[in-house]
Amino acid sequence: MESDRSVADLEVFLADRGDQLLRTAVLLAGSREAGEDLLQAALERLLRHWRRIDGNPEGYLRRTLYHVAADSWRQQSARRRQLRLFWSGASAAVTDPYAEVEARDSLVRLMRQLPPRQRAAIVARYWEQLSEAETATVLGCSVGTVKSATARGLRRLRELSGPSGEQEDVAGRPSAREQLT
Amino acid sequence: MNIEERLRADMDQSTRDIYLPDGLALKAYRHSQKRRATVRTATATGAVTVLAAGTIAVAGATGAFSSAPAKPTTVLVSKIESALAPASISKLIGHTRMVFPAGTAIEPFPGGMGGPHGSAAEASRWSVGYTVGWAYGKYSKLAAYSASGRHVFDVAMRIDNGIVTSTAVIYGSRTWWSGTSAVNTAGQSGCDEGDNVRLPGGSGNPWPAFIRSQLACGAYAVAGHQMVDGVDALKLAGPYFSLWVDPSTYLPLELSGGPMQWYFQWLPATKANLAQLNEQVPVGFQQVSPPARP
Repeated sequence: MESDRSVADLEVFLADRGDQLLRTAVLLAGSREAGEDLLQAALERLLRHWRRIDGNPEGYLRRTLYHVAADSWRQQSARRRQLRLFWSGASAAVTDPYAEVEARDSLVRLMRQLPPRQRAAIVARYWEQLSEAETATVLGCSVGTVKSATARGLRRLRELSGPSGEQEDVAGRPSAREQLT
Repeated sequence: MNIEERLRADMDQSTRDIYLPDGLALKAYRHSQKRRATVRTATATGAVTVLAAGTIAVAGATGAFSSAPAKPTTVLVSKIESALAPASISKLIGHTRMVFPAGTAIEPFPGGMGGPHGSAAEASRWSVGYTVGWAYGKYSKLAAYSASGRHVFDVAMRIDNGIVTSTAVIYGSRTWWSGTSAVNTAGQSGCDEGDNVRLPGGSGNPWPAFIRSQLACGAYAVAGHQMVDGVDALKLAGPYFSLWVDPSTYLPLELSGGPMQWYFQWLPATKANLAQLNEQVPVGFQQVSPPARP
């Protein structure tokens, strides 16, 4: 009965806030399918700790979303490293020049190429419009880390989006040293 | 446009058409259950709360009682036990439309509704012709309208550990209040022998237990078949109410007693249907103290 109540509570909560949370998950994960999987994984964690959560579950769910996203990125990154051992050189052969052109149209697509923390910081700051302190709480890191991750993420997006992106914000252009990081 | 603005615009654009699919919470729940080393039986008791949790005291709710019905058969009770298996009803949202006779006035209070406070003139602002209700799990919401369709009030309730938290929005005065009370179980159990109007109430789907108990004690009995909303419904007659149930589920389709009529629909727990349970206080409405229970 307790479990049923949990699901009912969650369904009612998601009817109100689910769309926004799924959109955040899609941006964090990089695709619709991966976003749904990410949100479902976060919901599973939420259900496991349901009894200990007092009040609105949104804060807990949001933090979990970012943490699960980081976990899955770490796992994917490890898998990719393993695959490279077997498929070295294969990635160059499948590069599609037209896909590259299309990717320039959307910074969201380019965000997939960012490291996990940078992507999360950008989603939190520019999609959810959280402050640097709020972003630090959600990501479980310091404000300084949020600042540097956001700056590096933006810088990388400027580079990836081509010369026009850089020209539009000359003041934010990275130094030679920063480009290497 | 700088890169931050482009980023916001692109994120808006790319997520604009993304909406949460139905059933994700249930999917997550089922998946989390599979992960547990010990498999627990989901007891899926009660998913649908009574129309308005607690008691519903309605002006003009008295009326002539019908004669005592015949005793039900054991076979029928057994069949209903089977049809009312928890899994078949636990994920349905109860949607109801209640129609009241002219002159009915109802005021919400923490934990229920009842005859309004104050003078006749004061009571006239609580004139209600019909209500539309939604209920699921421990949540319920009821919207009340005048006979001409004017929105009179909404009241949303949630039951936790025997406590009802109610939030009401009063449209005429542009006010709202929130209050708590203990669940009132008076009149919700025992055999209906005509001395008291008994309706199921409280958290969970109260109808299975109610129908089962009333048939078992002989208060209700089968009184034939009638078509209700395209369904060849089974009519159960009690001392005050007549209840028409879907023979495939034994969930109520219609309830009639005295001058009042209830019409039921049992809907899937889709996101759109669940959203009906969320009460939003309109901008600009002023919070006031909840009224005392009448």
